[in-house]
Amino acid sequence: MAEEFDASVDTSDVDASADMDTSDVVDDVPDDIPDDIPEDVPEDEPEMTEEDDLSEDIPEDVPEDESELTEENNLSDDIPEDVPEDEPELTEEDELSEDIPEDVPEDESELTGENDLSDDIPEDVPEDEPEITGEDGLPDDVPEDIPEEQEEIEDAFSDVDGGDSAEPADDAQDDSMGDAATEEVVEDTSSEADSDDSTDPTDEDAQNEPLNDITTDGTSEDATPNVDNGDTAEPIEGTQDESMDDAATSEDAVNASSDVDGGDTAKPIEGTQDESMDDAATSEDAVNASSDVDGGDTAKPVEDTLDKSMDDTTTDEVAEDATSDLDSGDSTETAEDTQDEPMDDTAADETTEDATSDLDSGDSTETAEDTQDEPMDDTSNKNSADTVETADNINDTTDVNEVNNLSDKVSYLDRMRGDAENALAYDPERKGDWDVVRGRLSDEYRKTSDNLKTLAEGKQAEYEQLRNEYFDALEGADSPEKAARLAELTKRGGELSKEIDTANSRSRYADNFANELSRDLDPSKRTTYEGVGGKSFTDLHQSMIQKQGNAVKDFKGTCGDCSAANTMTALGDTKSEAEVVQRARDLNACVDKKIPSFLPESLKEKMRGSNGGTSVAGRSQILDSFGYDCDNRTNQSLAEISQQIANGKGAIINVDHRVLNKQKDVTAMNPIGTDHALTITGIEKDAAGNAIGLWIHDTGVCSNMGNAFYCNAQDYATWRNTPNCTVQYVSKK
Amino acid sequence: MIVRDLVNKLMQYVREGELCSCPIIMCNESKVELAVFTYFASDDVPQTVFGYGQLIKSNGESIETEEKELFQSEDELIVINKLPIVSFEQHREMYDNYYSHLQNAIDSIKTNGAIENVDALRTAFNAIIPTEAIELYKRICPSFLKLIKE
Repeated sequence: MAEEFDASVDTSDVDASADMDTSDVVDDVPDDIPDDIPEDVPEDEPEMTEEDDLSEDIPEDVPEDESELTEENNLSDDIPEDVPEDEPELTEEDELSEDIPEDVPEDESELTGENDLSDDIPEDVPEDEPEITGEDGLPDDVPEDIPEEQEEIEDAFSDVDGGDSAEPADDAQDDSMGDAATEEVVEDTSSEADSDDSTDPTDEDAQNEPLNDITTDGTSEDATPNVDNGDTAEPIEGTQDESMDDAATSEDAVNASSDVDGGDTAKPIEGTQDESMDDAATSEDAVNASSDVDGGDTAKPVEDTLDKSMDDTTTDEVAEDATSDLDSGDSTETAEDTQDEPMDDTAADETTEDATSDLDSGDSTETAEDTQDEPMDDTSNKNSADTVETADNINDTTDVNEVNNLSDKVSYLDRMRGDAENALAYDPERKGDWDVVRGRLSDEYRKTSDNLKTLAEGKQAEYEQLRNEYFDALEGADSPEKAARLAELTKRGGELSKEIDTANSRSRYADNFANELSRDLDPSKRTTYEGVGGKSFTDLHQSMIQKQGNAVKDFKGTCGDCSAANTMTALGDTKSEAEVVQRARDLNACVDKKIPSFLPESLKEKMRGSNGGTSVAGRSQILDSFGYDCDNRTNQSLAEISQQIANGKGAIINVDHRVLNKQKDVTAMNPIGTDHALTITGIEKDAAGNAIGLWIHDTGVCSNMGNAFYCNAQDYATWRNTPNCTVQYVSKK
Repeated sequence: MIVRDLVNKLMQYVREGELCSCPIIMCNESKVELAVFTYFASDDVPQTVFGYGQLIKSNGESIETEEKELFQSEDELIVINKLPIVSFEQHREMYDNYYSHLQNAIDSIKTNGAIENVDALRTAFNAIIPTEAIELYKRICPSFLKLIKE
């Protein structure tokens, strides 16, 4: 149902934007385009006709394209069937070029030759990729998702057919998709008259029937990307980028098709990079892929569009996709976003927003050439994108945040899974730990998936209601108010559709990992988690300071400050690192030394790493100033810690940081063996309810397990033996 | 004054990033105090000590802390070429032995005004602190070295 409504919704959206964009593009084009080139097609058309002759080069059927790609990249064959196999090739042999976002044309050749992609790979990606593509058993996860998205993949490839702008009309008609869009694409690319036809009715209809206009505009917009198909290097880039994405099998397929379809030289690069980084984008990408096909529906009679507008989910995305294609001028912006996102925990959310911003920023009238000429000028594009994006989302912030928050949670779990897997999964001696951890993560993935499903269901109901309102509104007499109302409903429907798609996509993704991680686990040995303050595992860890030393200049030894802040956060307050460090300085409760200038840089850095350091007594003083009691105890057993947490207390533990990496020795000169503070977030219990380990949040990230990790009973025994190991139980006064 | 308990209390004032000295006796007039001082040094070996953190002392009741300064010139740096690393068990044995002699020393000072078995205390101290690191103690607590005849 949602899909149906989306069609109408998006169609209207398309109209609005398309009218503006189309005209803009036409205005821009004349400078760069030969006279005989259709208005729609300006920039790429010459390339296609002169060098590439797409009617021959571009595959009559997809497999031929794939084989071409396979020769150089050996990627295309795997895309629809087995993404994981592609990924290792990319990560090991191919290096993502830094130039990709900067200079598309040059990159294309570089990509095809050397496939230098690595620099663009987000920090997150390498960690995830081995998990999925590696031999750990996780790669099977993605394929499980594939069957559901197979249709999308097929659509994508059918899109490729349709996208063959040079393909004879007969071929298009013979296309198995039997989609009107295919014919139109061909018509658009091959003649001005066709594209003009699609535009004219739009203008006429625009005043009376917004929905119809939308589809018409969408058609003209679609024509642009189709025309751009001639960029033979694009598929190669796109394919390489796609393989970077461990999560999105469907994306790969989509991208594969978009390589052919997405004529915008810059666009495929942007799009694929964004997609590859974004786990959440799976469904959207799929939708985008099919958008070309759907966009082709523009040629359908207006009545037909009206009747069926509610039946085409993808229309919405198509419209936007089309717009984004036109807005290829934003390519640099997208590239920048893409580079930033991987570094960010919230990348998944932002990716969705980026998709929107791409569309929005598309208001720029830059042509593809303009974009290529100004690849580094990100600022203006980004600003405009941000502005429009905000305006677009202003009425839907809460809903989007819900989806984004859950999507963030999935991304956070991904990172935890990656860290834990790297540290535990391949070490036979740590199989027990890995079983506990994967059981925990599996449960968390499952919970998050269930929340996403619930959210999607709620939004689906809202969508149905909107749809009914839309049909009710349709029955009224034509008026500006009616048009405005329809447009509003259409817009909201489109937004809802996106959110539903994202929620469902992320839910499926989380489900896959929930299943995979719990594979072969003995149900009778499944453990449970009891978190500080009764909070959930992921919520606790995600809400805490992730890495210390970023708040105050020259104060990097803030593990104790951060542990205090995190514990207060776990107990219901929200305290930042900067806030606690400042309080510690005010109380003279932390190391606060001016760094001597004569010291070599290594010792200066050592001193920076000491500044902010707190003692057990100092943390008690700090916490007291915030209204918390501290009960400091040594030689605590797991059961004792468990009991205290069950009583609602938070806990901070002091250890020698080296024990986190299994070192069991200490400097003889130093009677105190502890130099690092950690936050205990909860207790892992066996089926009988006995404490079997601790969950730790380490802002110093001193171990190979990342900042959130599991400490089993045996390891805790070592910690406990660390000279002066102290557990601070924290409770609100 | 129970040395072990008091040491544990003093340790609660040692901050992350600071290294801690071996507990020492500080005698001021008729008052006997147990103290530690903290210092900052590189992680590697040879270890370069580049300054002090704080002096933490107690007479068994209250605990006082006094902030110390980092070294002000390159000439003041102390280099320790040999840094003994021991297992937790060895560490515990070494300090248990030292604390027992320290307890005897404090008790004898309180009763007799002098340390009865100073050689045993000095030996236990030297087992923990290498010769190169004695310089640290000379600067902060020379009276203790004199007390143990180091």
